[in-house]
Formats: sequence, structure tokens, C-alpha cells
Amino acid sequence: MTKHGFDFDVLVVGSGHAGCEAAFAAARLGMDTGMVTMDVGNIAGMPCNPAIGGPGKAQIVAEIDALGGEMALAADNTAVEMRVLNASKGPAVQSLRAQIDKHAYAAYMGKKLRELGIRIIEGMVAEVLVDQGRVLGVTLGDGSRIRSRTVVLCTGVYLESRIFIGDEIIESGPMGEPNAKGLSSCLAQLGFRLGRFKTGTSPRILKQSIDWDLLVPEKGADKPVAFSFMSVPKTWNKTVCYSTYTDERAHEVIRDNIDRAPLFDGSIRGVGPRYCPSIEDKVMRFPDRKRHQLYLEIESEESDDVYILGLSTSLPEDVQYLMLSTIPGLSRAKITRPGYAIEYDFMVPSQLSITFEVQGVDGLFAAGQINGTSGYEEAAAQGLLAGVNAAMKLRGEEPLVLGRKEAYIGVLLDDLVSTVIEEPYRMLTSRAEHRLYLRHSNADMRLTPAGRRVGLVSDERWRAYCRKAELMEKGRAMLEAKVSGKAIKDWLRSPGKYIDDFFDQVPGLRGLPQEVLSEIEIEAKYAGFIERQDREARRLERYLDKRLPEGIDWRKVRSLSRETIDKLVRYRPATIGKALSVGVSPSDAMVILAMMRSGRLGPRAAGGNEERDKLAAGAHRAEMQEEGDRGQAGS
Amino acid sequence: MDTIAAIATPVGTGGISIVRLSGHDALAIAGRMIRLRKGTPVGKMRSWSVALGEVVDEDGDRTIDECIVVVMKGPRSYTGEDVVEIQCHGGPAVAEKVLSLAFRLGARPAQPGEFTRRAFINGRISLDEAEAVLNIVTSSSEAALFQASRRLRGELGALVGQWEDRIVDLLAVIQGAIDFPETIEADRNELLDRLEGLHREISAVLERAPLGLALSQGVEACLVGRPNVGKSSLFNALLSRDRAIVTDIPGATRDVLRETTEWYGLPVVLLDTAGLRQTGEVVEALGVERARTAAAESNVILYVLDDTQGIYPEDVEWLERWRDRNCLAVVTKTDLDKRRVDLGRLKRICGDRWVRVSGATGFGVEDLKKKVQSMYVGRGDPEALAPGSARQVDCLRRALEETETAIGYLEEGWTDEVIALALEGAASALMELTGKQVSSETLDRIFSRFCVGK
Ligand SMILES: Nc1nc2c(ncn2[C@@H]2O[C@H](COP(=O)(O)OP(=O)(O)OP(=O)(O)O)[C@@H](O)[C@H]2O)c(=O)[nH]1
Ligand SMILES: [Mg+2]
Repeated sequence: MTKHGFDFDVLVVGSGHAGCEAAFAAARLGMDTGMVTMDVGNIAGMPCNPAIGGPGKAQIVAEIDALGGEMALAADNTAVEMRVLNASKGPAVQSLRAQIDKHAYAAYMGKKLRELGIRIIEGMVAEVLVDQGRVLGVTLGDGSRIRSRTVVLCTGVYLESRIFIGDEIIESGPMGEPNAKGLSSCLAQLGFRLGRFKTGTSPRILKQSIDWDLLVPEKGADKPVAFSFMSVPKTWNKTVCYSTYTDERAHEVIRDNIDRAPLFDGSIRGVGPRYCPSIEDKVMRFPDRKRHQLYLEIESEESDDVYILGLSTSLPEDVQYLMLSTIPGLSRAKITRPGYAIEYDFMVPSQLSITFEVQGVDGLFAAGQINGTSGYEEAAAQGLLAGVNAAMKLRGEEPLVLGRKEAYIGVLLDDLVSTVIEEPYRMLTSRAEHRLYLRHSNADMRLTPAGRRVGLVSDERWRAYCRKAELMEKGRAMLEAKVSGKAIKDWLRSPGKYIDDFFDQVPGLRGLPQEVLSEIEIEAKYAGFIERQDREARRLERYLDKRLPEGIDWRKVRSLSRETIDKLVRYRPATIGKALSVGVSPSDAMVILAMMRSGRLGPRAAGGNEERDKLAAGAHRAEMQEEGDRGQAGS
Repeated sequence: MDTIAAIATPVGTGGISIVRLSGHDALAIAGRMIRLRKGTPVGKMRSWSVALGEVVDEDGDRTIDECIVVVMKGPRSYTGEDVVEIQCHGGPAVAEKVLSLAFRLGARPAQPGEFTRRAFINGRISLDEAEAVLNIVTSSSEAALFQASRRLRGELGALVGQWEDRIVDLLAVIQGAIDFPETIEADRNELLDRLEGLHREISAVLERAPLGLALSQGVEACLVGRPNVGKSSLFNALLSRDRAIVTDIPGATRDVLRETTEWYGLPVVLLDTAGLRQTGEVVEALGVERARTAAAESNVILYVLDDTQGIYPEDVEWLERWRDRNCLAVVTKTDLDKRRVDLGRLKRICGDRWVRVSGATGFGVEDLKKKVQSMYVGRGDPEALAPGSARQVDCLRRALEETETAIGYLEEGWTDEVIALALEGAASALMELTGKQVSSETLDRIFSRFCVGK
């Protein structure tokens, strides 16, 4: 028992990737932290493929690291191989992807939990205790209560989850673990809107039953790489990933048995992610594709399970066997766990506030797949912010909130709270309008100060940051030097010029560490594009990012359609762009803009004058409103 | 919304006039105004049906006119609200009576363009279409009407939509190849080909922008020149009526006069201005200032020279200053046959942009009109598709520039994410015409075109 009769300051529900980062962050910020999990043997598990990173996701991992989270270090410590995706493209989109030993990863995270003194309680949370809009703790399935000043829900895909393997429907969580019952209806009773998503996974097969010599080995990274700014980069040349493919024979098996797929017979109601289709989906939707690539990933040194990336399925086990028998290298494969589809409840994330506290219950936070996202990285990032903000709330300090221009995590946050999430949300570089700036390589420069401010960044990390920042300043100053009448930084803007071309002219450059050199080179090379991106974002700001006035009772605004008013009331979009993305029709959006401009909606929006000036600039300026006024009355 | 009413047919034309009502009480008000032949109430008429009846005054004892009633119930009507159209036979005077009866029964006068605005607000038409409709309403000539109606039928919209579609397709490949490098690959040569094709098509339509703008919004043509050279006389001759005061006292015209007219299908706003000169007289000086502003802001400058006086040094100065504008030198008073304006010299200053006229006899006036018309229409097929508002032109121009930039980046060898930046710019410029959002469109496209994912 701690202060005021509470057991904990922060109680984390769930021990997955969100739960772990939330607990670490809270504990590191001095909170008395507890964690409830249904299975103490399942910490930071990887029920999907044993990998971390990839486009958009690797950047998130780096950001978690810069803020003082654990995922990057854990990945660096337990990876069996790393690769750089998009190596032939620019630095902003090059993305590290690691294959992880999942058992080693779980052990690493479990050890961290113990080191930080986080108390782990095995049990199933059946109810969130709320009194007068404040969270008081939780009730477990056995009726016992845990009292906590804040609660962070990181229950993943366990809420009322069901597993589908052919016509077999099992009320359970992933990998055959029990599901969470009761919590969903408790949340619904508290007034939260829930949705239902589905996702799927591939069959695991026995290592010894694969004909490895029929597979194509995939190469690791040939230059030293690491997720964390605190890790020593390593070169990977061990081959642990192999590829093969499905061909017409497998596709025929699928077509012949498609009536036995629950995805197609209507028994699954949840919405699945388009970026992670099942093999039956791929075959049915793209009948022209003669092959689908598969990757085989060994899950751990300690197990004989091999994950087949690309073969997610909910077909019955006998069909899975038939399918495998046609795939080169897998014809004798023995399934250790069949692929399955899983359907689960999530909380509609527009009910979150920007601190990951849910609106309406003081002290209750939610992070990870419960918010409708997918992916270990996305979950971990939310966990980190929710854990930090639970602590900041208790301390009475400013929360940690990231914006779209600062971090991929900011994009994630903003998309969650202010758009309609129609499928499990996965990060993609396409979602980040500032993606040329939001690089893995500068995540430390972007976010370490924020992590330091809240107290997550260790002295050691802070010193490393300061040293690098100082060297970067020095380097930038050297790039101001003129060569043939033009500053080096301007020379670097052309695609064929590199910083080593100027070592002779500015010998000081040679003394800078590689990560500093490459970073200042990227800054100079992409400066023009990044300015452009900013400009475009600012231009859009005048329309899409124009903020809607706050505190308006939309129900009282005339001349908007009912649907629009419903959406405005429900999603409270902050900007015109958000209003469009929650489904407000473009014409209503224009009406809102026109009303704002004419001062009929709250305070006159900033930037309005600029717009008017632009309009006045030419001879033929006809904006809707003015044009209409000149028109004839009978039109 | 409250009920608005207006006469929908142009004032003073045709045998029938239409009074249009739109809004919540449109049916109720019409019901109190009209007695149908069948004896049933107007409110019982089916949507999109027509009936014969007569308009009677409030007391129901006096018939104002015989009429045809068309009922269109919301949301399937032009404005999206209940609409009633009353076609009267008796011409404008009768229509006025019908309208004022509607006002007495609770309708209020419609603002200019308000029916269209309501259609837009109620989501019946897009911004694009609304612009086109308003162009039709304001357009005063046949060619313009044709332009606007083509746009209304959505042709420009369809074309822009098609370009947008193609750019989003390219973005889906490039952006898809970044987010799903294992499954999608972008072919840069093909990309270049497609971008160049787009560039050609967009520039072709943009080249017609001056025509489209001119046809849908009219051009301003401004008569300027030294005092007493004959501007006001010409103004009257071009309008075929005595509009401006003409005297032999220099400095007669003070304020700017504007009149709308039409020259061979081109809608024109013609401006008459005060003679340009230094003057100590306050009112005249203000007039001169206005003349200069009017000339600066107009589309066409008609610089008037007096054939009885010749070319003055300040004439040369003005003509040279406006060399890069649409400026036509107009030599007037040629009926007096003084030939003081040296044509050889004039040609050296203005090339072939000059014309000889007379405000007194009307000689050369048609020639002048044709010359101005051909500055716009002459360059292209007046019925070809062209953008018709500044907003459309602005969006297309940005799309073109971004396409150019993308081509440049490709040729310089920049990597895909940089090219995507310019393509996004192009797509977002076009999407401003349709109100969609680039990032969500691109994602949808990636998922519909490619088989991605683990
Ligand atoms: N014979 C003849 N006389 C003309 C012609 N045009 C103008 N005049 C005479 O020239 C004098 C000036 O004509 P305006 O049209 O008032 O000249 P303006 O350029 O408008 O003069 P300001 O308004 O004072 O600048 C009048 O006496 C006209 O009758 C022409 O084409 N032929
Ligand atoms: Mg005059």
C-alpha cells in the first residue's frame, strides 16, 4: 500500500509492447508501477512475425529510443539479422528491419521489468473502477481489486477476441491464450464506442521439416547498422531469412477451398487491414498474379518454429497442409501452429485526448492495439507516451505531446485522435507529410531534448546527444566555406556531390565522426526539398490546416447538412482537413471556410487577409461568394 | 432554410416569365397562391410533376394570371430543398405581381446567386459546378454560355479528374515502392514518359485560359489618351448610343465610365476615362489618377491618338510603357483626313497593333472590335475546353509547375521520395478543384492496385 490507500501510482494492464514501454516509462519517472497480465510467461510477445522495423516503423523505433524508451535497445540486443530496406532510395526513407529472436526479446523485456521494480500481477482485468469520472483501479476476474491512481489499458487484441481456423471458432486470444472477457462491456457501459477489427497470421512450421536447400537465402546489411543511438552499429552477414513463393498449384488449392474460408463466408465481421491481406485475399483479389513471395523467418534459437511471412490465412488446417505441399521447399512441412484470423474489439481512438488519456474518465489511459492500431512499434510508441503522460499528470507537469512535424509518433497520435480509423492503423511513410525531415538518422536530434525534459533520458544519453549536437554545429559551420565562389552546403544540393569531395578543401571535415558527416550532408542536400515540404504544408494550412474555431455548438449552425453536423459534433475535427477526413463533404467544408472568412463563425481566422490579398491581385478574381453576389437573383 | 423567391428569367425577355420559390415553405406558399385546375392542392402534387392552374391574390377573389406549376421536392431538386416554379404568361409586369404576392405570403427576396449557393450548400453541386453555373448566370454572350455549360456538364471536371487519377497512379507506384519495397518497384523511364504526356495535356488546356476567362467573365477594355483626342466620342460609337458627354473642351470626362457590351461573342466591359495630362485642377487630377489605375487593371488598353494632332512625346512614352500589355493604338478623327499621325512611326512602336477609326462616322469601329476579339478568341477554338475561373487556372498552373519539377528531379537523378514530393504537389493542386486529399487517395490506390503485405 502506497500513498492515500492506493496500491500503485500507475497500473498497466497488459504486458505486450505497449504495456512494457508504458511501465518502463512510468517506473523511470519515479512512479510506483504495477502491471497486470493474464500470463506472466508472455511478456512482449510476437504473435505475428518476429521482426521489428521497416518503412515508417523503423523511424518510430528510433524515436522511441531518442525519447528514452526501450524497444530499440531490445531489438539491437536480440536481433538475429538486420537489413536496410530502400537502400537505393534517399536517406529519409531508408528503413532498418531486424529479424528478432523472439524468446530472447521477451527475456530482455522481462529482465527490464524486474530491474525497474515493476510489480507483476497475474490475472484478468474484468472491470475498470471509476467513481465520479475518476479512475480508482481495476477489478480482476477473481473479484480482487487493485487500486491505482492511474490505469493504462494496453490489452492489445484480447478484448472479446475470437480465433478462426476454417469453420473452427475459438473464443481466445492469439496463440491460444485466453481472451479478456467483460472488459469490453465495462468500457461500453462507461460510454465508450467500440469497434471490431480483425487480423491474421501465418502457420508456423517445424524447422526440421523444411528443405532449406530449395530456398533462396536473403542477405543481411553489409554496412554497420543499429536501431539505437546508444548501440554500437553491427554488420550482419549471417543468413537467417530465406524466400520461396506460392505458384498456380497453391492458388488452385485456395480457389477450390475458398468456401471453407471464414473470411469469405461472412462469419468474420471485423475489418481487416488492407496492407496485410491473407493469402486467400491476395489470390482472389489479384487473379492475374502467378506467384506470391514468401519469406521464412526462424523465430528463435530456442524454438523450432519457423514463421512464413506472406501466408497469413484462416483456411482450415487440412487446406493449409494441402497448400504447403505445393510450395517449393515446404512440401514436407509440419505445421506446429496453424495460421488463423483473429477478431477483436477496439476503442474508437477519436475518444482519446492527445495525451492518450481517454476522454471522460480522469486518469484512464489507453495505448496500443486497443486503440485500433497494428504493429509492435506503433504499440510501443503509444505505450511510451501514455506511461509518460500518466506520470506527468500525477506530477502536475506539462504532458509530452508530439506534433506531425516533429515525429512519426506525432503523425500516429494526430491520425488516431482526429481521423476516422477504418482499418487497423499501421504507420507508412505515405502518412507523414514531413517525411523528408522525419528520418531515423536525426531522431536523436529531434527528440532527445523532449525525452530529457520529462526525465526519461539518462545522463549518459544526454551527454552523447550534446556532444553530437556540438559537432553538428561545427560541421555546419565548415559547410559555409566557399569553394569556387559557392558555399559547400550549396554544392551539396546537386545529386552528384558528396561531402568527401570537399575533404581536401576543408580538412577539418575529415576529423568529424561518420554519423555527423552523413547527417550534415543530408541536411545540406535535402534543405531545398525540406523547405518545399514546409511551404506546401503551410500552403495547405491556409485551407486544410485552417483551424476550426473552438467551442462552437455546431448544432446551432445553420446551412450545414445534418450529417456534417453529426460528424463535427462527434469527431471534433480541429481543422478543415480533418473535417474532410472524417467525412464532411467538400461543399460543407467550403461553406464552413466561407463562414469563418465572413466572421460568421467565431473569431476571424488568421491568414484570411493574405487570402484576400491574393484574390485582389488579379483582374479576374472570382471566389464563390463574391461571384455569387454578382450573379443574377434568379440563378 | 427560409423560403426565397425570385424571377428566374432574364428581365424583359420572352413571353413567359418564371417565378421560382425554394425553401422550407415553398410548397405552402405556392399552395396559397395557386388554384389548380384539377382542384387538388399544390402540396399534393408529386415531385417533378407539372400542373395547370391560376395565380389568385390573397383574398382568393381575383385571378392574376394563368400559370403552369412545376413542383420539385427536396432533396431531388436543384437547390436540394422544395422548389416550386411558376410559369406565368403575362410578361414581366405580371411576374412582378406574382413575386410580390409570394413575398406577402412569407417568402423573402433571393440574394443574387442564392439559389446556386443553396444548391452548393446542400451538397447538390460541387464547387466546380457552382462556379460554372454562376458563370452561365453572368455570361452575356453565346460563346460564353457554351463554355460555361460545357464545364457544367462536368467536362473540365472530368478531364481534371482524369489527370488527377493518373498522377495518383504514379504516386501509388512511387510511394508504394517506398512503403512496400519487397513487392512494388517503380520504373523511372515509364514514369518520365507518363509525366511528359501529362505535361503536354495540361499545358494545352492552360494555354486556353485567357480565352476561357475572357469568355466566362468578360474582358475589361479601357479607352485612354490625352485630353480631347476623342475617347468619349469613340466610347459612344462603340456602344452605339450617346452615353458619355462629348465637348470640345479638353478635360470633359472626369470619372471612369463603364458599360457592358459584346464584340463578336466576346463579353466586354468598356471603360471611358479622363484625358491623361498634368493638371492643377483637383477634380481633374483625381480623374487622371483613376484613368491610370483603370488602364493598369484592365485587360485591354485602347490608346487613342488624334489624327488631327499626330503623335506627341507623351504618347510614345505611354505606348512604350504598355508595350507588353494587350494594348491597341487607336487613331481617331480620321474622317477629317488630316493624317498627322505618322503610320510608319506608329508601326515601329506598336507593330501591327493599331487601327484607324472615326468616332464621328463610325468608320473602323467594327474593325477595332474584331481586333480586340481576336486577341482572345482568334487564338484558338472558342469551343475548346478551357478553365473559366481564376481559381481553376491557379490550380492548373500549379499542377503544371509541379509536373515540370517532377520531370526535372527525375532527369537530375533524384531518388523516389523527392520525386514523390513534386507529384504530391501536382495531385494536391488538382484535388483542390475536387476537394479530395492526396494521402488517403494514394493509400487507397496502393491497396487497390498492388498486392502488398506480409
Ligand atoms: N470630326 C470628328 N470629331 C471628333 C471625333 N472624335 C471626337 N471629335 C471631337 O473632338 C472633341 C473632343 O471629343 P471627346 O470625345 O469629348 O474627347 P475626349 O478624348 O473624351 O476628351 P476628354 O474627355 O476631355 O479627355 C469633340 O468636339 C468631338 O466632337 C471624330 O472622330 N471626328
Ligand atoms: Mg471624354
